[in-house]
Amino acid sequence: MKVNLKKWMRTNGAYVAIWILMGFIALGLVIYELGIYTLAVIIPFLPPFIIAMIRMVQELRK
Amino acid sequence: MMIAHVTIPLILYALFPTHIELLPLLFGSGFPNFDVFPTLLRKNPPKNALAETHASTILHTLFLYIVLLPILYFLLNSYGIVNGWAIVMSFSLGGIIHVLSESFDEKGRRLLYPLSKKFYGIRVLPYDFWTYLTDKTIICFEVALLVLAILLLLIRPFG
Repeated sequence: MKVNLKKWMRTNGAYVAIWILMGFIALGLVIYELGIYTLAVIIPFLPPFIIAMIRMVQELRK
Repeated sequence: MMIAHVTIPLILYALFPTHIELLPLLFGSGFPNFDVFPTLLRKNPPKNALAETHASTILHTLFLYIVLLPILYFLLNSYGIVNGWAIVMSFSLGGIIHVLSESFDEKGRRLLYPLSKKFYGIRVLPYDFWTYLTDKTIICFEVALLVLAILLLLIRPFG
């Protein structure tokens, strides 16, 4: 499915912004509770997250 | 869904801070998603998203976290870790929260594995990522639970 990312972002940018904001708030809460140990929660999940982001863009451009 | 990974674990931690270890709880709530690799590394997306590997493996079953509970406990105990039970229980609880929360999507989860390989659940949420991302009702629900988590962490009603 080929998607015009610019057009999609114009339509759904507000949703994306809310999700990103919620993500940062949740991260802030976890950092507030765990401090430096937050890294132990985040680091194992970074590889699938990065691959997911790359694949998402690749599949949307197909 | 953010509720399965962070929000519900934070709410539970805010309610029972003396019984739950947050670090293993959050690690446990993210652990089921390690079965996402075959989906991420595929060459072409499947025609039916519900048939993909993600959320279909043993990592997305309640069975795994119940079985892991005593095994990990004895393992930590043998290394002399004092609060091993709280750590293991929090990890398993995280995994169970993840699986149960996600069973509300249209795919469901293998809740009765290994007795049944069927997917069960109350299928009220979309499975498709993009639909989930842009659904107003879901965003309101996620925001409401996040606000609840913030309030509970600030108030600490039982801690």
